[in-house]
Amino acid sequence: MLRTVGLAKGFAGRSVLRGVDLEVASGEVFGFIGPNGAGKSTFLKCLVGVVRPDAGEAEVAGVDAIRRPLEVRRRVGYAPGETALYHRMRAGEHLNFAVSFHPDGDRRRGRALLAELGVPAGRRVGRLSHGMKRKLLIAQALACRAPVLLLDEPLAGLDPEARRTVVGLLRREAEAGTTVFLSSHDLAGAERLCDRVAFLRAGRILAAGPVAELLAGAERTLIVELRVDLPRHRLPRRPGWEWIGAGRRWRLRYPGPLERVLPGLAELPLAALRPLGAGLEELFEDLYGPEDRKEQA
Amino acid sequence: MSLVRQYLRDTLWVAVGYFVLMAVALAAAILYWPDFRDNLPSIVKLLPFDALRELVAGIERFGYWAYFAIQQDFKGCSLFGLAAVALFGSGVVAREADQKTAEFLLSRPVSRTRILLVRFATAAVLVLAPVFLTSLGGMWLSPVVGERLAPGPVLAAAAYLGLFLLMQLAFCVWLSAGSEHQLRAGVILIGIMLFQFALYLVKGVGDWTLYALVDPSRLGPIQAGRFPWREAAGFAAATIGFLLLAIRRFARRDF
Repeated sequence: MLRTVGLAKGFAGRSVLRGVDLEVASGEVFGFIGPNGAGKSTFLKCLVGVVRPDAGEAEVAGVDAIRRPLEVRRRVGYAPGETALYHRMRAGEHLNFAVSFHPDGDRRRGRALLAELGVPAGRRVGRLSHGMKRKLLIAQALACRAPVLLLDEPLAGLDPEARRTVVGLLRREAEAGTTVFLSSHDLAGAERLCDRVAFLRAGRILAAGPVAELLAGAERTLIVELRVDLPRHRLPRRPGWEWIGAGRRWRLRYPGPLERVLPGLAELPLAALRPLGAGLEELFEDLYGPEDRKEQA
Repeated sequence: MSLVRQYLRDTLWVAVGYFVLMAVALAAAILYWPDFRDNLPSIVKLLPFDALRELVAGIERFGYWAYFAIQQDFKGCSLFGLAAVALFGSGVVAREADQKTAEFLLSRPVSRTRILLVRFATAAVLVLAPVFLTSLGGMWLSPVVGERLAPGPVLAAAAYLGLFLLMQLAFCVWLSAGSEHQLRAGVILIGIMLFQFALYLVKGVGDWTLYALVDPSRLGPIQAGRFPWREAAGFAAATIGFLLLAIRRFARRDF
């Protein structure tokens, strides 16, 4: 339903996307996770033709997104960031405006979604809270009745109750066969919502796969922090062990129970040792450096 | 239709204001005509530039028609019309970039060419409707000061000035298609036109400016049925040229 090969884009000599390869199946909920500036929004913009990629291929709902962006936009319900809204319009009017361009746009459904999400249709967009604006964007994307939903940070700024409602709505859409592609900072929400995720950093995908698989991998990973820099050849080796990292900070992937691993690490000058954990949050922390984490926070 | 309504939401009241200004300025000028006519020799002595003296000489030659054309077409359209062109034209694309709404609009299933052309057409109506309406209103008001204007020349002069304004509008849309800020596109257009007008007032250079194409030397003969077709065709060609460039610029732009 959605496929990109080597998608690349740069602005003023700075590479934002560096050859992104992705494939998302029909009816799947796919999360694109990464810190600010990772290229998530640019990727979404490339898919709908707001930004023209420098290289690569992109296909959405069977249509070449580079050569026929208009055709793609007919098959996509798109929710950009909240700053993209017309602040002088009323919420209901904004919804009608957005939906009016879509061949299968359904205003009645849009109004019903606004009511379900608690967005006052008569209030000016500029006077809505961040969460309300986000809900308006989600409602207009869903009201387009498109086979593909592209949502930029749909869970940002939502309170826990609203987040539950939106997660439920998007899951229902996916169950009905709609492909949902979203970018997110909200790792907990993405973990609940997505079938598969990809972690993006500086325009490159660091890891991708089914959430359950990634988390299972994370369950058998230790974060090993050392007091001194050690090269790889000085680290202990055991069958099935895989060391990832450099200097003082390493990740150890191991098979079997943790108890069997610990004796093998006894000789190392350990500063800290902790399991990677079993959530996307922990996986994110492991994949990204401290600067990325600070930015994300 | 949605595109038109959405564009009008931000511009309609400005268009009404522009129409009122044009109408009030022309009505005041028409009602002042008897005093102006009676004091023409004294007024000529007060004028600081040769170019302005030549304008008034045009009035002496062509009478009330030239006075009406200068007030409505040369002054009214060039002043208020230019302001309207700058306001409406600069907003066609740059307003979306300025307000960060471009991503929303451009992610709808509508082509950039259509967005640009629909907005250009809407802006053209907003700019030109007051020109024609006030010209017809001036024709209706003229008998109050004992003068009569034939509708043919009045509408022909309005059409000629309309083409002049359309050319500026298309140029402004081209600026807007490449600009991050609406204000910048508008200011550049006004700056260029003011510079043109300043040059127009300089003897010997004035004939080579855009304003020489809309002064009494071109407008006066319209009363006698001599429409400046060559200049009008030039305005139309420039309008199409700027529009094509604007479409190209908009199509290649990332937001």
